[in-house]
Amino acid sequence: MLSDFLNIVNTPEYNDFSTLFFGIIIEALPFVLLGVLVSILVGLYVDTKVVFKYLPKNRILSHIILSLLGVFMPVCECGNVPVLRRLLSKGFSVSHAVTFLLAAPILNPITAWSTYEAFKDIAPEVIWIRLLAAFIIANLVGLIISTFKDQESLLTPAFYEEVCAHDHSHEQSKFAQAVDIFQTEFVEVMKMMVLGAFIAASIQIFVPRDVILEIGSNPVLSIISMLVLAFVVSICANVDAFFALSYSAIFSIGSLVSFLVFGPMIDIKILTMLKTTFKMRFLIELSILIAFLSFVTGLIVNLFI
Amino acid sequence: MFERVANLTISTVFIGAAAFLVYSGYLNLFVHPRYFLFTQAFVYTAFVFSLTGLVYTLISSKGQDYKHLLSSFNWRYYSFAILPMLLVSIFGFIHEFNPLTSATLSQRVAEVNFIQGSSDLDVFELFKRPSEDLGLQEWVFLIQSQPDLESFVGDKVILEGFIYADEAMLEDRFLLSKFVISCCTVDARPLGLEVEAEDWDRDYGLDQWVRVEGVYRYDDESEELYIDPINIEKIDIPDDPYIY
Repeated sequence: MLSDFLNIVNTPEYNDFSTLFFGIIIEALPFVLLGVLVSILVGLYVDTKVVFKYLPKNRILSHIILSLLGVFMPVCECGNVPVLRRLLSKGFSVSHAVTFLLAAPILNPITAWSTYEAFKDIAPEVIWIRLLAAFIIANLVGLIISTFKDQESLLTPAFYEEVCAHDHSHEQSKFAQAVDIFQTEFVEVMKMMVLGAFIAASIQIFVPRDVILEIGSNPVLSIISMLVLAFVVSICANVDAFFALSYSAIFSIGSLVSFLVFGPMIDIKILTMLKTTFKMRFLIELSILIAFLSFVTGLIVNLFI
Repeated sequence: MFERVANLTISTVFIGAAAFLVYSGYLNLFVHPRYFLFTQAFVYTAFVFSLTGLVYTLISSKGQDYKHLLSSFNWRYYSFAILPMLLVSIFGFIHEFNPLTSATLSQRVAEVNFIQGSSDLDVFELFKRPSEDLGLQEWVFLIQSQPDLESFVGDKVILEGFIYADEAMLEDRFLLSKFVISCCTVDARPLGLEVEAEDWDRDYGLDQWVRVEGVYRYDDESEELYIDPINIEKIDIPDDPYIY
């Protein structure tokens, strides 16, 4: 029994699994903590009444404003999950919070800069197409969700209970409130992050990349291939452009755009983290919708640009 | 109250394990150096905050009826959250981590030397430097940018990396390899140059780190460059095993 265990522990597969698994966690951890910090600041200092007073009543305009919040918060997608949860706790609708979640990892200065650095020489059009596509998809998805009459039904019962509990904030010191937000958000997000990292690292070790990349030269299949890759690798939005760039020799530009738009919005890691907040059925529908819109974006680029 | 203490305890242990890894110098095995300061700042600060929050909560809960709190604690729900995080924390404290190896390279072998346009290297500047001073990434870049591969024949190289080989490679050849990292290990891309050494596998295994000193030869059949080694020396895993 012990020798069997030691045999596994001494394999390169086990070594690489542990390095990849901890690589994902260590890379994401400061972003999650930054997200929790923003969540604490929003929880303590943002007066929802004031925000709603200045937020335009027009449905389209209000979603556009939420989609541009990432400009002030250049955090990758893992960090935005705690912020999304805090926005919902503060009374923002699911459609507003999801619009923020989808747009912020891409429509922020760091991602824009890294995309520029990566693609400025070989395909500069990727930069503006990525930003524009993220803006359109995030707002479109948000507007579609805003047509749902009962948006709260998309939340898990546990989170919905939590949202209601936040409405009765008791008279605690600021520090006690900050600790309260910290412990809830951190554990809620990290427990799923651990699961997401486990799945992502396992796939990286046990599924050969050439299975995904073999169809890379076909203008349609290459987009699907890159969408699958984005979903599997769960790479941080701030640097995914450099990753995508390494595929530019064999993959169509449209497929790279699809990768850059879809990856920051939906991947294994994010889905497991969002499971703390939304019902699974909604997450599946959301993923399919975003995958479809990212696919269409890639196809338009391949055919017309 | 009990949930709060449980959450803060596991948060402190989890972030403590991450702080331990950061303090122990393991960061370069996981992330690009540009994230070092950011990671250190957040992990250390969060550890102090979480620990302070735990102490504060314990002090402020003094005098509470623990028996009652314990009986209302949702063990099943919290074990789902706490057990995996606790296991990961313990693992972080006791495991000895090593860089990525042939296991990852074999999954990404279709991507070996995909560095087109991803490097800031200047071909003209590289040509001016003595050939033995160039590193693995610089050689791969130079070879990809030069159509006439035979012009490199006879150039001397001194390179370090780990050994990779698979059935698709010619007999007596191995790939002297390293990974390039843009962000973290997830995006690691393999680089490598082939070395031809008869019966190399008698003396060296897969994943063995070596320093190879040799010259380039051109294989007319496969139309590829390979390194003809003068000397192959086993080395320890370097402090910086990746190319950033």
